[in-house]
Amino acid sequence: MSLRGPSKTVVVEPLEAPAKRPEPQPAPPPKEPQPTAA
Amino acid sequence: MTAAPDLVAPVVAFRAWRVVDGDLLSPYIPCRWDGPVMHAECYPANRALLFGRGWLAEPHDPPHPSCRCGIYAHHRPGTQPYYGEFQWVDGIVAVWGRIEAYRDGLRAEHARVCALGCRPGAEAIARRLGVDLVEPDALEAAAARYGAPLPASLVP
Repeated sequence: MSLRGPSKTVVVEPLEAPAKRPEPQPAPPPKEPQPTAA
Repeated sequence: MTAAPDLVAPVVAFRAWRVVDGDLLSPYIPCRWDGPVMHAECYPANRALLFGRGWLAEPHDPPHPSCRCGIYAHHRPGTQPYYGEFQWVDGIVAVWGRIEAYRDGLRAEHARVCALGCRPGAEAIARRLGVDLVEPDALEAAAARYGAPLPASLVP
């Protein structure tokens, strides 16, 4: 209730759902077992 | 035909809440934030505040330029006034919809809590709302994770 002075109307229409939490990075896939030389 | 939006991404801003019985309440009106998202309403009871001065009597969609309604936030953290004896917590919000922008802050149509500053009682609330918890003196730096502030060109 403390905002003073002139105001300006701004329209914000997000293209995506707003302010989702940052997604955790997926863990790297396990390494494929490498064929070993006989 | 509708006018093109000024921005297509939510605006990041800062605000504070009273903490009562483990819940977030708006500082000046009895509005409980049960979830992370809040949509502004201009309740008739609000108009009793300040003896009705500055509140628009006719029904309208909040925030109205000629009213005091809307979800309040500031462009910078730590600019909220004193809340008396109440326990309170600062936080980061992302706002969108129609916004009345002022030099120091804004009134928004919609808001989502992004993070709360770490204070006694804030951890349980942050967990329940599913929002992040950050050190109070790191709020400004942490805000960049959630978006950008209102551009200076849109601040009167």
